[in-house]
Parts: sequence; C-alpha cells; structure tokens
Amino acid sequence: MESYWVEHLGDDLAQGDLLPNCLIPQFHPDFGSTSGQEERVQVAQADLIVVTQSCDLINNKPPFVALCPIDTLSSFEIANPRFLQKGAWEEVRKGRREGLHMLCAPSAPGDNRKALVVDFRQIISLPFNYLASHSQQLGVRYRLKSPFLEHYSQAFARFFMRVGLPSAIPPFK
Amino acid sequence: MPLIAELPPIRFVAHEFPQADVFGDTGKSLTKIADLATRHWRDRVEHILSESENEEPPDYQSIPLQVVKSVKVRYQFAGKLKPIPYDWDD
Repeated sequence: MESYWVEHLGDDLAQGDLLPNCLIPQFHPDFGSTSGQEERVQVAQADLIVVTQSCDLINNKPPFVALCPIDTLSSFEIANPRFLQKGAWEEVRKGRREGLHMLCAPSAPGDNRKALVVDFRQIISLPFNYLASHSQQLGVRYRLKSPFLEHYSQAFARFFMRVGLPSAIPPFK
Repeated sequence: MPLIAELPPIRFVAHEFPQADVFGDTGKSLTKIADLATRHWRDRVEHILSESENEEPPDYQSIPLQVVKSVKVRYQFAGKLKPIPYDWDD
C-alpha cells in the first residue's frame, strides 16, 4: 500500500506536517492577574499535525500556526472505550465520523490497527517560530503528500464549515 | 488454517404475512389469527426495530492533553497583538 507520507527535513512548515512531542503551555484561569510577574505554568505534550494552509505559512509567516492532535487508535480507545466496538473505526476510516480523520501510520501504511486519528475538535495554536525550531530539532519527520493532503484538508474544512440548524426535516424511516 | 466466518450482526426485521386468497370460514379465521399474531409481535419488537434503525456510531471525547511538566515563567506583557500585514492583490 502506498504511504500517505513523505520524509522531510528542515524548519519549513506546511499543512499536513506531523510534529511529534510539541509542548503546549496551559495557562491557569488566573494567569497574569497576580501582582508578581513569575508564575508556574503547566506544560502539556502532544503529537500534532498542521492545519494552517501551506500558502499562508509560506507567504505570510503568520505569528501562530493552527494544529490538531493526532493519536494512535489504542490511545484514543483508552479515552473512548466505545471505539473498541466493532465497526466504530470503520466509520472513521470511511470519513463518516464528524471531527475525526484517519491517516495511515508512516511506518506501517498497510496495518490499519497502527493507523493514526486526527481530532479536529481540538485546534491548538502555537507560535510559528517555536514550531520552526522544533521541526528543525526533530530531524527527519513526516509530511502528508498529495492527494492524501488535500483529502485531509477537505475533511478539516468540512468539519469547520458545518452549520447547526435550529430544526431539521424528520428522517425518512 | 481454515477461517471461521463471523456471525452477521443480529437485526430484527419486520415482515408482513403474505396475503393469500382465503377460502371459507376457516381461511378467514386463520387470516384473523395471523393478523393478531403480527400485531402482537410488532408491538413488542417496535422499540428494538427503532433502536436498530437509529443506530449511530459512537460519539467521542477528545483525549485530554497530557501535562508533562510545570515551569516557572517570568512573563512580560508584550502589548496587544497587532494585525499582520495584509497583501492586497490588485
């Protein structure tokens, strides 16, 4: 099976870049409100994938880049045991599960149990310069290639542009 | 090694008794009994049928971000973020 990914080396960023072990500061609710200027901040770590459009990253060099968490199926199942049910991942694989997008594992594209799942419901914004530096430190990393990149991008767009209606036509049964 | 096929998922499907020509009192009474039986059965499995029809894949919770450390930071107010340059292509 053809891999969705190409290996990439460098500090340039593009949509579909897989960036493992990104650090994410988590401000407590009262951060910045105390009189002192020194505070303790918790730092989370996550594997993220870039969702900001490549053209915006290249031309504008925005101060912040949007990313979404990308996890293994097994780690997702720990948080969501219902996904252990037969057929749940098949719905995601077919693109029928709102907010989730499945990508093959860079190391084993033919093994569906090693696939990765992107969670579009969590959009994390991190500084461009931090991510560029982190990308450099990662060395060889993975970047989604066409047309899997466009498929992923479209899935995110479809999730983001959805409209909730106040009422709906009753379903046909 | 022979593979054993998995059992298909159990689904309840409502069937109608086929309509047939009835003859005589016995036929009419059999049809009446069949209708009663159908109604009786349908009333009891309706909720199962509707559950099956409304079956949806499970919803999910995002995985909480894993805190790996906490750092002491000295913050400096850098001012309000300003709009970034906007390219106006004519």
